[in-house]
Amino acid sequence: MTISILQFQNFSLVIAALVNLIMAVLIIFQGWRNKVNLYFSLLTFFNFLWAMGLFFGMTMDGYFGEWSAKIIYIFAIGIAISLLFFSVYFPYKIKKINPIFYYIILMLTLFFIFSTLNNTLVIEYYRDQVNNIFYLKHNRFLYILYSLYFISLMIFSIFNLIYKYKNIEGIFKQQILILLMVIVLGLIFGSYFDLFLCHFGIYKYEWLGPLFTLPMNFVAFYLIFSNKDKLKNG
Amino acid sequence: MARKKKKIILLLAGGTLLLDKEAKFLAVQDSLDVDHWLRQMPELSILADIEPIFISGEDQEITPQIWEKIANKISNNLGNADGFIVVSKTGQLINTALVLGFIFQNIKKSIILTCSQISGTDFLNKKEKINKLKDKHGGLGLRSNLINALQITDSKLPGPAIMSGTRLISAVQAVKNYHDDTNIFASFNDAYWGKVGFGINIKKDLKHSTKQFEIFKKINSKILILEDFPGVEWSVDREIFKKYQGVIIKTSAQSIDQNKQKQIASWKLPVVLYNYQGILSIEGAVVISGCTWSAAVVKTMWALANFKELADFNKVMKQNLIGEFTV
Repeated sequence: MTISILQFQNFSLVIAALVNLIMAVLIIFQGWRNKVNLYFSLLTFFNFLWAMGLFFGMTMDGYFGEWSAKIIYIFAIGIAISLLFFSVYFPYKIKKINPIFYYIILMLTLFFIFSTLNNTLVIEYYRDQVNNIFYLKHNRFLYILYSLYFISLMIFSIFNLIYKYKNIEGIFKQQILILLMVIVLGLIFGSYFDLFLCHFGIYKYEWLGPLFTLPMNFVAFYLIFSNKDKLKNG
Repeated sequence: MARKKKKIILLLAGGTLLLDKEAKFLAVQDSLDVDHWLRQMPELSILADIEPIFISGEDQEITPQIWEKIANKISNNLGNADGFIVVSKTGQLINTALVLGFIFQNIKKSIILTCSQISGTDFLNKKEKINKLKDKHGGLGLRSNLINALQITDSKLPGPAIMSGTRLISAVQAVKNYHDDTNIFASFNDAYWGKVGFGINIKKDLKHSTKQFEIFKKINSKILILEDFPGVEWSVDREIFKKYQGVIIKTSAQSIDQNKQKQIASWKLPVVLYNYQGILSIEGAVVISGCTWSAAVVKTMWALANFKELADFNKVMKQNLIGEFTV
Protein backbone atom coordinates (compact mmCIF):
# COMPACT_ATOMS: atom_id res chain seq x y z
CA MET A 1 0.00 0.00 0.00
CA THR A 2 1.38 3.42 -0.88
CA ILE A 3 0.25 6.88 -0.04
CA SER A 4 0.82 9.53 -2.73
CA ILE A 5 2.26 12.93 -1.90
CA LEU A 6 -0.47 15.23 -0.43
CA GLN A 7 -1.70 17.58 -3.06
CA PHE A 8 -3.83 20.61 -2.43
CA GLN A 9 -7.12 18.72 -2.73
CA ASN A 10 -5.97 16.10 -0.27
CA PHE A 11 -4.86 18.77 2.17
CA SER A 12 -8.26 20.46 1.84
CA LEU A 13 -10.05 17.20 2.51
CA VAL A 14 -8.05 16.61 5.66
CA ILE A 15 -8.72 20.14 6.91
CA ALA A 16 -12.44 19.81 6.18
CA ALA A 17 -12.46 16.45 7.98
CA LEU A 18 -10.64 17.80 11.02
CA VAL A 19 -12.90 20.86 11.33
CA ASN A 20 -15.95 18.60 11.25
CA LEU A 21 -14.46 16.22 13.79
CA ILE A 22 -13.59 19.05 16.17
CA MET A 23 -17.10 20.46 15.82
CA ALA A 24 -18.63 17.03 16.46
CA VAL A 25 -16.66 16.65 19.69
CA LEU A 26 -17.27 20.26 20.76
CA ILE A 27 -21.00 19.99 20.31
CA ILE A 28 -21.41 16.61 21.95
CA PHE A 29 -19.65 18.04 24.99
CA GLN A 30 -22.30 20.76 25.16
CA GLY A 31 -24.64 17.98 26.26
CA TRP A 32 -25.49 14.86 24.28
CA ARG A 33 -28.93 14.48 25.90
CA ASN A 34 -30.04 17.56 24.04
CA LYS A 35 -31.25 16.18 20.70
CA VAL A 36 -30.18 19.31 18.84
CA ASN A 37 -26.61 18.77 19.99
CA LEU A 38 -26.79 15.03 19.37
CA TYR A 39 -27.97 15.21 15.77
CA PHE A 40 -25.76 18.11 14.79
CA SER A 41 -22.80 16.30 16.28
CA LEU A 42 -23.71 13.20 14.26
CA LEU A 43 -24.07 15.34 11.16
CA THR A 44 -20.59 16.78 11.52
CA PHE A 45 -19.18 13.38 12.45
CA PHE A 46 -20.54 11.85 9.24
CA ASN A 47 -19.10 14.85 7.36
CA PHE A 48 -15.75 13.93 8.88
CA LEU A 49 -16.12 10.28 7.80
CA TRP A 50 -17.19 11.33 4.31
CA ALA A 51 -14.21 13.65 3.89
CA MET A 52 -11.79 11.03 5.20
CA GLY A 53 -13.35 8.37 2.99
CA LEU A 54 -12.77 10.58 -0.04
CA PHE A 55 -9.22 11.27 1.11
CA PHE A 56 -8.33 7.60 1.52
CA GLY A 57 -10.13 6.69 -1.69
CA MET A 58 -7.97 9.18 -3.58
CA THR A 59 -4.67 8.48 -1.87
CA MET A 60 -4.59 4.82 -0.86
CA ASP A 61 -4.03 1.87 -3.12
CA GLY A 62 -5.59 -1.53 -2.94
CA TYR A 63 -8.40 -2.84 -0.83
CA PHE A 64 -8.43 -0.01 1.72
CA GLY A 65 -8.63 2.70 -0.92
CA GLU A 66 -11.37 0.87 -2.78
CA TRP A 67 -13.50 0.39 0.31
CA SER A 68 -12.99 3.96 1.43
CA ALA A 69 -14.27 5.14 -1.94
CA LYS A 70 -17.34 2.91 -1.71
CA ILE A 71 -18.26 3.41 1.91
CA ILE A 72 -18.68 7.18 1.49
CA TYR A 73 -22.14 6.42 0.12
CA ILE A 74 -23.15 5.08 3.52
CA PHE A 75 -21.63 8.10 5.25
CA ALA A 76 -23.52 10.41 2.91
CA ILE A 77 -26.81 8.82 3.95
CA GLY A 78 -25.68 9.29 7.55
CA ILE A 79 -25.24 12.98 6.78
CA ALA A 80 -28.70 13.25 5.24
CA ILE A 81 -30.44 11.40 8.08
CA SER A 82 -28.62 13.35 10.80
CA LEU A 83 -29.57 16.57 9.06
CA LEU A 84 -33.18 15.44 8.82
CA PHE A 85 -33.40 14.71 12.55
CA PHE A 86 -31.57 17.91 13.33
CA SER A 87 -34.14 19.85 11.30
CA VAL A 88 -36.92 18.10 13.27
CA TYR A 89 -35.49 19.08 16.66
CA PHE A 90 -33.83 22.43 15.96
CA PRO A 91 -34.59 24.67 17.71
CA TYR A 92 -37.55 22.65 18.97
CA LYS A 93 -39.98 20.07 17.65
CA ILE A 94 -43.12 21.64 16.22
CA LYS A 95 -44.77 18.64 14.64
CA LYS A 96 -45.23 15.02 15.52
CA ILE A 97 -43.62 12.77 12.91
CA ASN A 98 -45.55 9.72 11.77
CA PRO A 99 -43.68 6.57 12.91
CA ILE A 100 -44.24 5.06 9.44
CA PHE A 101 -41.92 7.72 8.08
CA TYR A 102 -39.17 6.50 10.39
CA TYR A 103 -39.68 2.90 9.24
CA ILE A 104 -39.47 3.91 5.58
CA ILE A 105 -36.20 5.74 6.23
CA LEU A 106 -34.85 2.77 8.15
CA MET A 107 -35.76 0.29 5.38
CA LEU A 108 -34.31 2.40 2.60
CA THR A 109 -31.15 3.11 4.57
CA LEU A 110 -30.61 -0.56 5.34
CA PHE A 111 -31.21 -1.35 1.67
CA PHE A 112 -28.51 1.08 0.52
CA ILE A 113 -26.08 -0.04 3.21
CA PHE A 114 -26.56 -3.59 2.05
CA SER A 115 -26.18 -2.57 -1.60
CA THR A 116 -22.95 -0.77 -0.85
CA LEU A 117 -21.45 -3.55 1.23
CA ASN A 118 -22.21 -6.31 -1.27
CA ASN A 119 -20.91 -4.33 -4.27
CA THR A 120 -24.31 -3.90 -5.89
CA LEU A 121 -24.38 -0.08 -5.86
CA VAL A 122 -20.71 0.34 -6.81
CA ILE A 123 -19.60 -2.34 -9.22
CA GLU A 124 -16.05 -1.27 -10.06
CA TYR A 125 -13.33 0.95 -8.64
CA TYR A 126 -10.31 2.36 -10.39
CA ARG A 127 -7.72 4.77 -9.00
CA ASP A 128 -5.74 7.14 -11.23
CA GLN A 129 -2.50 7.47 -9.23
CA VAL A 130 -1.10 10.21 -11.43
CA ASN A 131 -4.05 12.60 -11.06
CA ASN A 132 -5.09 11.47 -7.60
CA ILE A 133 -8.64 10.64 -8.59
CA PHE A 134 -10.69 7.53 -8.29
CA TYR A 135 -13.38 6.38 -10.71
CA LEU A 136 -16.39 4.28 -9.88
CA LYS A 137 -18.76 2.34 -12.02
CA HIS A 138 -22.27 2.20 -10.54
CA ASN A 139 -25.34 0.14 -11.11
CA ARG A 140 -27.13 2.93 -13.00
CA PHE A 141 -30.60 2.23 -11.70
CA LEU A 142 -29.50 1.88 -8.08
CA TYR A 143 -27.38 5.01 -8.32
CA ILE A 144 -30.35 7.05 -9.54
CA LEU A 145 -32.47 5.59 -6.74
CA TYR A 146 -29.75 6.39 -4.22
CA SER A 147 -29.45 9.96 -5.49
CA LEU A 148 -33.21 10.47 -5.32
CA TYR A 149 -33.28 9.12 -1.77
CA PHE A 150 -30.41 11.34 -0.67
CA ILE A 151 -31.84 14.48 -2.30
CA SER A 152 -35.30 13.73 -0.86
CA LEU A 153 -33.92 13.53 2.67
CA MET A 154 -32.09 16.82 2.17
CA ILE A 155 -35.17 18.50 0.72
CA PHE A 156 -37.33 17.31 3.65
CA SER A 157 -34.78 18.83 6.01
CA ILE A 158 -34.76 22.13 4.19
CA PHE A 159 -38.56 22.26 4.06
CA ASN A 160 -38.64 21.62 7.83
CA LEU A 161 -36.32 24.52 8.43
CA ILE A 162 -38.19 26.83 6.03
CA TYR A 163 -41.49 25.97 7.72
CA LYS A 164 -39.98 26.70 11.12
CA TYR A 165 -38.48 29.96 9.89
CA LYS A 166 -41.90 31.13 8.74
CA ASN A 167 -43.66 30.14 11.95
CA ILE A 168 -41.12 30.91 14.59
CA GLU A 169 -40.39 34.13 16.41
CA GLY A 170 -37.69 35.60 18.57
CA ILE A 171 -34.04 34.67 18.61
CA PHE A 172 -34.66 31.41 16.77
CA LYS A 173 -35.68 33.17 13.58
CA GLN A 174 -32.23 34.54 12.90
CA GLN A 175 -30.55 31.28 13.87
CA ILE A 176 -32.66 29.23 11.49
CA LEU A 177 -32.11 31.68 8.65
CA ILE A 178 -28.33 31.59 8.96
CA LEU A 179 -28.24 27.80 9.27
CA LEU A 180 -30.65 27.39 6.37
CA MET A 181 -28.40 29.44 4.10
CA VAL A 182 -25.27 27.45 4.87
CA ILE A 183 -27.07 24.10 4.70
CA VAL A 184 -28.53 24.94 1.29
CA LEU A 185 -25.06 26.03 0.17
CA GLY A 186 -23.59 22.73 1.34
CA LEU A 187 -26.39 20.74 -0.27
CA ILE A 188 -26.17 22.44 -3.65
CA PHE A 189 -22.42 22.27 -4.06
CA GLY A 190 -21.96 18.96 -2.26
CA SER A 191 -24.59 17.31 -4.44
CA TYR A 192 -23.28 18.94 -7.60
CA PHE A 193 -19.64 17.85 -7.18
CA ASP A 194 -20.20 14.51 -5.46
CA LEU A 195 -23.45 13.20 -6.94
CA PHE A 196 -24.46 14.99 -10.13
CA LEU A 197 -21.04 15.18 -11.85
CA CYS A 198 -20.31 11.59 -10.85
CA HIS A 199 -23.36 10.53 -12.89
CA PHE A 200 -21.44 11.69 -15.92
CA GLY A 201 -18.18 10.06 -14.84
CA ILE A 202 -16.58 13.33 -13.73
CA TYR A 203 -14.77 12.54 -10.48
CA LYS A 204 -11.99 15.07 -10.42
CA TYR A 205 -14.00 17.65 -8.43
CA GLU A 206 -15.24 15.24 -5.74
CA TRP A 207 -12.79 16.70 -3.23
CA LEU A 208 -14.64 20.04 -3.32
CA GLY A 209 -17.85 18.70 -1.72
CA PRO A 210 -16.60 18.49 1.90
CA LEU A 211 -15.29 22.05 1.72
CA PHE A 212 -18.87 23.27 1.59
CA THR A 213 -19.53 21.81 5.02
CA LEU A 214 -17.18 24.39 6.50
CA PRO A 215 -19.61 27.37 6.43
CA MET A 216 -22.11 25.29 8.42
CA ASN A 217 -19.44 24.53 11.01
CA PHE A 218 -18.46 28.17 11.27
CA VAL A 219 -22.08 29.19 11.78
CA ALA A 220 -22.55 26.57 14.52
CA PHE A 221 -19.33 27.76 16.16
CA TYR A 222 -20.60 31.33 16.00
CA LEU A 223 -24.00 30.41 17.48
CA ILE A 224 -22.36 28.58 20.36
CA PHE A 225 -19.69 31.11 21.23
CA SER A 226 -21.28 34.42 20.29
CA ASN A 227 -23.37 34.30 23.46
CA LYS A 228 -20.86 35.60 25.98
CA ASP A 229 -23.05 35.10 29.04
CA LYS A 230 -21.17 33.14 31.68
CA LEU A 231 -22.76 30.07 33.21
CA LYS A 232 -22.05 30.06 36.92
CA ASN A 233 -23.76 29.68 40.25
CA GLY A 234 -23.37 33.34 41.11
CA MET B 1 -43.54 2.37 24.25
CA ALA B 2 -43.88 6.17 23.81
CA ARG B 3 -42.15 8.26 26.44
CA LYS B 4 -44.62 9.86 28.83
CA LYS B 5 -44.78 13.64 28.40
CA LYS B 6 -43.95 15.74 31.41
CA LYS B 7 -46.89 17.51 33.04
CA ILE B 8 -46.46 21.24 33.35
CA ILE B 9 -48.78 23.64 35.13
CA LEU B 10 -48.88 26.94 33.26
CA LEU B 11 -50.04 29.81 35.45
CA LEU B 12 -51.17 32.93 33.61
CA ALA B 13 -50.94 36.26 35.43
CA GLY B 14 -50.44 38.79 32.65
CA GLY B 15 -47.45 39.05 30.32
CA THR B 16 -49.37 36.94 27.82
CA LEU B 17 -49.35 39.29 24.84
CA LEU B 18 -48.55 37.65 21.53
CA LEU B 19 -49.31 37.96 17.83
CA ASP B 20 -51.77 35.47 16.40
CA LYS B 21 -51.58 33.96 12.88
CA GLU B 22 -53.22 37.10 11.41
CA ALA B 23 -50.64 39.29 13.17
CA LYS B 24 -53.27 40.59 15.59
CA PHE B 25 -52.54 41.08 19.28
CA LEU B 26 -53.89 38.50 21.62
CA ALA B 27 -53.74 38.44 25.41
CA VAL B 28 -55.41 36.51 28.20
CA GLN B 29 -57.81 38.87 29.98
CA ASP B 30 -59.98 36.22 31.57
CA SER B 31 -60.23 32.45 31.80
CA LEU B 32 -62.30 32.21 28.61
CA ASP B 33 -59.36 33.50 26.56
CA VAL B 34 -56.99 30.75 27.63
CA ASP B 35 -57.91 28.04 25.11
CA HIS B 36 -57.82 30.35 22.10
CA TRP B 37 -54.52 31.80 23.33
CA LEU B 38 -52.99 28.34 23.71
CA ARG B 39 -54.15 27.32 20.24
CA GLN B 40 -51.79 29.95 18.81
CA MET B 41 -48.88 27.84 20.09
CA PRO B 42 -49.68 24.20 19.18
CA GLU B 43 -46.01 23.26 19.56
CA LEU B 44 -46.31 23.65 23.33
CA SER B 45 -48.47 20.53 23.54
CA ILE B 46 -45.80 18.54 21.65
CA LEU B 47 -43.22 19.44 24.25
CA ALA B 48 -45.34 18.75 27.34
CA ASP B 49 -48.75 17.98 28.73
CA ILE B 50 -49.85 21.51 29.68
CA GLU B 51 -52.49 22.38 32.23
CA PRO B 52 -53.22 26.11 32.08
CA ILE B 53 -54.52 27.93 35.13
CA PHE B 54 -55.81 31.48 34.84
CA ILE B 55 -54.69 33.73 37.71
CA SER B 56 -55.19 37.32 36.55
CA GLY B 57 -55.81 39.28 33.36
CA GLU B 58 -53.30 41.10 31.21
CA ASP B 59 -54.31 44.52 32.50
CA GLN B 60 -54.67 43.59 36.16
CA GLU B 61 -52.11 44.85 38.63
CA ILE B 62 -49.96 42.22 40.30
CA THR B 63 -50.68 42.45 44.01
CA PRO B 64 -49.70 40.32 46.99
CA GLN B 65 -53.14 38.67 46.69
CA ILE B 66 -52.18 37.54 43.16
CA TRP B 67 -48.89 36.23 44.47
CA GLU B 68 -50.67 34.28 47.17
CA LYS B 69 -53.07 32.89 44.57
CA ILE B 70 -50.12 31.72 42.44
CA ALA B 71 -48.51 30.18 45.49
CA ASN B 72 -51.69 28.32 46.41
CA LYS B 73 -52.04 26.89 42.92
CA ILE B 74 -48.45 25.71 42.92
CA SER B 75 -48.81 24.26 46.40
CA ASN B 76 -52.01 22.39 45.43
CA ASN B 77 -50.34 20.86 42.36
CA LEU B 78 -46.95 19.92 43.78
CA GLY B 79 -47.83 16.26 43.82
CA ASN B 80 -49.07 15.94 40.26
CA ALA B 81 -46.91 18.31 38.20
CA ASP B 82 -43.36 17.88 36.96
CA GLY B 83 -42.78 21.61 36.86
CA PHE B 84 -44.39 25.02 36.84
CA ILE B 85 -44.26 27.92 34.44
CA VAL B 86 -45.58 31.29 35.54
CA VAL B 87 -46.30 33.90 32.87
CA SER B 88 -46.51 37.31 34.43
CA LYS B 89 -46.17 40.98 33.63
CA THR B 90 -42.74 42.20 32.58
CA GLY B 91 -42.53 44.97 35.16
CA GLN B 92 -43.31 42.64 38.06
CA LEU B 93 -41.66 39.42 36.89
CA ILE B 94 -38.60 39.74 39.09
CA ASN B 95 -40.67 40.46 42.20
CA THR B 96 -43.01 37.57 41.40
CA ALA B 97 -40.03 35.24 41.00
CA LEU B 98 -38.54 36.42 44.30
CA VAL B 99 -41.82 36.03 46.14
CA LEU B 100 -42.10 32.44 44.91
CA GLY B 101 -38.47 31.85 45.90
CA PHE B 102 -39.13 32.93 49.50
CA ILE B 103 -42.47 31.15 49.69
CA PHE B 104 -41.19 27.83 48.32
CA GLN B 105 -37.81 27.43 49.92
CA ASN B 106 -35.64 24.56 48.64
CA ILE B 107 -38.36 23.32 46.33
CA LYS B 108 -37.38 20.23 44.33
CA LYS B 109 -39.42 21.12 41.25
CA SER B 110 -38.70 23.82 38.72
CA ILE B 111 -40.56 27.09 38.77
CA ILE B 112 -39.74 29.05 35.64
CA LEU B 113 -41.08 32.54 35.09
CA THR B 114 -41.37 34.21 31.74
CA CYS B 115 -43.24 36.93 29.89
CA SER B 116 -43.85 38.67 26.64
CA GLN B 117 -41.54 41.60 25.84
CA ILE B 118 -44.55 43.88 26.20
CA SER B 119 -47.15 43.78 28.96
CA GLY B 120 -50.58 45.36 29.13
CA THR B 121 -52.87 46.24 26.26
CA ASP B 122 -52.30 50.00 26.38
CA PHE B 123 -50.31 50.27 23.17
CA LEU B 124 -50.24 54.03 22.94
CA ASN B 125 -46.66 54.50 24.10
CA LYS B 126 -45.37 51.19 22.85
CA LYS B 127 -45.99 51.34 19.09
CA GLU B 128 -42.37 51.94 18.15
CA LYS B 129 -41.10 49.15 20.34
CA ILE B 130 -43.78 46.74 19.14
CA ASN B 131 -42.99 47.43 15.49
CA LYS B 132 -39.29 46.98 16.14
CA LEU B 133 -39.92 43.63 17.80
CA LYS B 134 -42.20 42.52 14.97
CA ASP B 135 -39.63 43.42 12.33
CA LYS B 136 -36.63 41.96 14.11
CA HIS B 137 -38.08 38.90 15.79
CA GLY B 138 -41.40 38.28 14.09
CA GLY B 139 -43.27 38.61 17.36
CA LEU B 140 -43.17 39.69 20.98
CA GLY B 141 -40.92 36.91 22.20
CA LEU B 142 -43.41 35.02 24.33
CA ARG B 143 -43.64 31.97 22.09
CA SER B 144 -39.89 31.31 22.11
CA ASN B 145 -39.67 32.12 25.83
CA LEU B 146 -42.39 29.59 26.62
CA ILE B 147 -40.80 26.94 24.45
CA ASN B 148 -37.42 27.44 26.09
CA ALA B 149 -39.06 27.39 29.53
CA LEU B 150 -40.84 24.12 28.69
CA GLN B 151 -37.63 22.52 27.53
CA ILE B 152 -35.91 23.20 30.83
CA THR B 153 -38.66 22.47 33.32
CA ASP B 154 -37.27 19.01 33.94
CA SER B 155 -33.85 20.41 34.82
CA LYS B 156 -33.26 20.47 38.57
CA LEU B 157 -32.84 24.14 39.37
CA PRO B 158 -31.93 25.42 42.85
CA GLY B 159 -34.85 27.87 42.87
CA PRO B 160 -37.22 29.89 40.71
CA ALA B 161 -35.66 31.30 37.60
CA ILE B 162 -36.55 33.71 34.82
CA MET B 163 -36.37 32.49 31.23
CA SER B 164 -36.28 35.38 28.79
CA GLY B 165 -34.50 35.90 25.48
CA THR B 166 -31.31 33.88 25.54
CA ARG B 167 -30.98 33.76 29.32
CA LEU B 168 -31.99 31.68 32.28
CA ILE B 169 -31.47 33.82 35.37
CA SER B 170 -31.84 32.99 39.03
CA ALA B 171 -34.63 35.06 40.60
CA VAL B 172 -32.26 36.44 43.24
CA GLN B 173 -29.81 37.71 40.63
CA ALA B 174 -32.23 39.13 38.08
CA VAL B 175 -32.37 42.83 37.25
CA LYS B 176 -34.07 44.68 34.42
CA ASN B 177 -31.96 45.30 31.35
CA TYR B 178 -32.94 48.42 29.46
CA HIS B 179 -30.21 48.22 26.81
CA ASP B 180 -31.27 45.15 24.88
CA ASP B 181 -34.59 44.30 23.25
CA THR B 182 -33.77 40.58 23.09
CA ASN B 183 -32.70 40.17 26.70
CA ILE B 184 -34.86 42.41 28.86
CA PHE B 185 -33.44 40.83 32.02
CA ALA B 186 -29.85 40.40 33.10
CA SER B 187 -27.96 39.00 36.07
CA PHE B 188 -26.63 41.73 38.34
CA ASN B 189 -23.40 39.78 38.89
CA ASP B 190 -23.14 38.43 35.35
CA ALA B 191 -23.85 34.84 36.36
CA TYR B 192 -26.43 32.81 34.46
CA TRP B 193 -27.91 29.41 35.11
CA GLY B 194 -28.45 28.77 31.45
CA LYS B 195 -28.20 30.28 28.02
CA VAL B 196 -29.79 29.71 24.65
CA GLY B 197 -27.32 29.58 21.81
CA PHE B 198 -27.12 26.47 19.76
CA GLY B 199 -29.66 24.61 21.79
CA ILE B 200 -30.21 25.32 25.48
CA ASN B 201 -27.29 24.90 27.85
CA ILE B 202 -27.91 24.67 31.56
CA LYS B 203 -24.97 24.97 33.94
CA LYS B 204 -24.00 21.43 34.89
CA ASP B 205 -23.25 21.66 38.62
CA LEU B 206 -25.70 24.17 39.99
CA LYS B 207 -25.49 24.34 43.80
CA HIS B 208 -28.59 23.00 45.48
CA SER B 209 -29.45 23.57 49.10
CA THR B 210 -29.47 20.53 51.35
CA LYS B 211 -32.15 22.04 53.59
CA GLN B 212 -35.68 20.72 53.84
CA PHE B 213 -38.38 21.99 51.55
CA GLU B 214 -40.56 24.55 53.35
CA ILE B 215 -43.57 26.59 52.31
CA PHE B 216 -44.31 30.04 53.75
CA LYS B 217 -47.44 31.16 52.00
CA LYS B 218 -47.93 34.61 53.46
CA ILE B 219 -46.69 37.89 52.07
CA ASN B 220 -47.19 41.30 53.64
CA SER B 221 -47.74 44.34 51.49
CA LYS B 222 -47.92 46.86 54.32
CA ILE B 223 -44.36 48.10 54.11
CA LEU B 224 -43.21 51.63 53.58
CA ILE B 225 -40.39 51.98 51.06
CA LEU B 226 -38.14 55.01 51.47
CA GLU B 227 -35.09 56.21 49.64
CA ASP B 228 -32.53 58.12 51.69
CA PHE B 229 -30.31 60.82 50.20
CA PRO B 230 -27.31 61.70 52.36
CA GLY B 231 -27.54 65.26 53.59
CA VAL B 232 -31.26 65.51 52.93
CA GLU B 233 -33.32 65.53 56.11
CA TRP B 234 -36.29 63.24 56.53
CA SER B 235 -39.61 64.90 57.03
CA VAL B 236 -42.03 62.09 57.66
CA ASP B 237 -45.41 62.47 59.32
CA ARG B 238 -45.68 59.90 62.09
CA GLU B 239 -49.31 59.25 61.20
CA ILE B 240 -48.12 57.52 58.03
CA PHE B 241 -46.57 54.70 60.02
CA LYS B 242 -49.95 53.65 61.39
CA LYS B 243 -50.74 52.23 57.98
CA TYR B 244 -47.59 50.12 57.76
CA GLN B 245 -46.12 47.15 59.55
CA GLY B 246 -42.53 47.67 58.50
CA VAL B 247 -40.16 50.03 56.73
CA ILE B 248 -37.34 49.46 54.27
CA ILE B 249 -34.91 52.27 53.48
CA LYS B 250 -32.53 52.29 50.55
CA THR B 251 -29.50 54.46 51.06
CA SER B 252 -26.37 55.21 49.12
CA ALA B 253 -24.52 56.23 52.31
CA GLN B 254 -22.56 53.76 54.36
CA SER B 255 -23.80 55.21 57.60
CA ILE B 256 -26.91 56.98 58.82
CA ASP B 257 -26.62 60.23 60.80
CA GLN B 258 -27.71 60.44 64.45
CA ASN B 259 -30.82 62.45 63.71
CA LYS B 260 -32.11 59.87 61.27
CA GLN B 261 -31.22 57.07 63.65
CA LYS B 262 -33.36 58.73 66.34
CA GLN B 263 -36.24 58.97 63.93
CA ILE B 264 -35.92 55.27 63.08
CA ALA B 265 -36.02 54.39 66.79
CA SER B 266 -39.15 56.50 67.29
CA TRP B 267 -41.18 54.65 64.63
CA LYS B 268 -41.34 51.47 66.71
CA LEU B 269 -41.57 49.31 63.62
CA PRO B 270 -39.29 46.68 62.07
CA VAL B 271 -36.88 48.65 59.89
CA VAL B 272 -34.53 47.37 57.23
CA LEU B 273 -31.64 49.50 55.98
CA TYR B 274 -30.27 48.55 52.57
CA ASN B 275 -27.12 49.52 50.76
CA TYR B 276 -25.78 47.06 48.20
CA GLN B 277 -22.16 47.71 49.13
CA GLY B 278 -22.55 47.71 52.89
CA ILE B 279 -23.70 49.93 55.73
CA LEU B 280 -22.76 50.39 59.39
CA SER B 281 -25.10 48.74 61.89
CA ILE B 282 -27.43 50.94 63.87
CA GLU B 283 -29.81 50.30 66.74
CA GLY B 284 -33.41 49.81 65.86
CA ALA B 285 -32.83 48.54 62.33
CA VAL B 286 -31.43 45.52 60.59
CA VAL B 287 -28.88 46.34 57.90
CA ILE B 288 -28.51 44.23 54.78
CA SER B 289 -26.26 44.40 51.77
CA GLY B 290 -24.96 42.19 48.98
CA CYS B 291 -28.31 41.45 47.38
CA THR B 292 -30.47 43.17 44.80
CA TRP B 293 -32.86 45.90 45.93
CA SER B 294 -35.80 43.81 44.69
CA ALA B 295 -34.64 40.87 46.80
CA ALA B 296 -34.32 43.15 49.84
CA VAL B 297 -37.85 44.51 49.42
CA VAL B 298 -39.49 41.15 48.76
CA LYS B 299 -37.62 39.50 51.60
CA THR B 300 -38.81 42.25 53.95
CA MET B 301 -42.41 41.70 52.83
CA TRP B 302 -42.07 37.95 53.30
CA ALA B 303 -40.28 38.13 56.66
CA LEU B 304 -42.82 40.61 58.08
CA ALA B 305 -45.66 38.23 57.18
CA ASN B 306 -44.07 35.10 58.62
CA PHE B 307 -42.08 36.33 61.65
CA LYS B 308 -44.03 38.46 64.10
CA GLU B 309 -41.35 38.71 66.77
CA LEU B 310 -38.83 41.45 66.04
CA ALA B 311 -35.88 39.29 67.09
CA ASP B 312 -36.96 36.52 64.69
CA PHE B 313 -37.55 39.06 61.94
CA ASN B 314 -34.08 40.58 62.38
CA LYS B 315 -32.46 37.15 62.49
CA VAL B 316 -34.12 35.85 59.36
CA MET B 317 -33.36 39.05 57.44
CA LYS B 318 -29.64 38.42 57.98
CA GLN B 319 -29.80 34.76 56.92
CA ASN B 320 -28.94 33.72 53.38
CA LEU B 321 -32.11 31.75 52.74
CA ILE B 322 -32.29 31.27 48.97
CA GLY B 323 -28.91 32.54 47.81
CA GLU B 324 -30.06 36.16 47.83
CA PHE B 325 -26.79 37.30 49.37
CA THR B 326 -24.08 36.77 46.80
CA VAL B 327 -21.44 39.04 48.29
